[in-house]
Amino acid sequence: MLSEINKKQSKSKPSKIKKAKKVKDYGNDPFFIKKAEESRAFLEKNGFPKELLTKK
Amino acid sequence: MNLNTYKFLASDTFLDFEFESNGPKGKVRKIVRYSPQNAGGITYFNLGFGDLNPKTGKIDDLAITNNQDREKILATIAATVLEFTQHFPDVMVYAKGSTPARTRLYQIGISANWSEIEPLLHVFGYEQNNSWQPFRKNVNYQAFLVKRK
Repeated sequence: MLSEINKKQSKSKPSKIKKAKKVKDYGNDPFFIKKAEESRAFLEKNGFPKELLTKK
Repeated sequence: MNLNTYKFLASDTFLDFEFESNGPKGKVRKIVRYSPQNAGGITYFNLGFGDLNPKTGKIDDLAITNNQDREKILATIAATVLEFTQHFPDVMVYAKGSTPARTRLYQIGISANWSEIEPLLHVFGYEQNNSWQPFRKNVNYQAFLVKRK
């Protein structure tokens, strides 16, 4: 999923923010996993704004 | 962008951001994580935010730092949203605090930085009456969804 999104990354404006190898990947942190699961439950129950789904 | 923010760093993937709160209680490392997720076949990213516990290396979302820099922290989180959506302009970002009070803080942060946010992002809030609405100041929301214009 992420690889597909990466292909769509904006190339128009280079970022001024430095990438830092010392910023680790927190994808496996229990807190962030729990938060993401909670968000999925909320959005599966309540849906998305139609306006955002139709915008580019 | 003229937000009064802390300087922040991004991971290689631009999914993780880190900055340091600095105030009377000392320095506290803060982490913002954009987690890819899918609901009903629709991909979005969940914004997670918390303090890094230096002893465990884990995130402590309910820590209360009291570093008297709330506005600057909220502005920094907003700045990471702008940075993240610059790299991933076609995705939606979902944000909801760990408590209603923290969700209200997001609302305050969006309102306080609205002049910087509004030209760049579509912002929707989920109202108590169970519907998504375009963001308005002084309205309480349960959650937020944003996307680049």
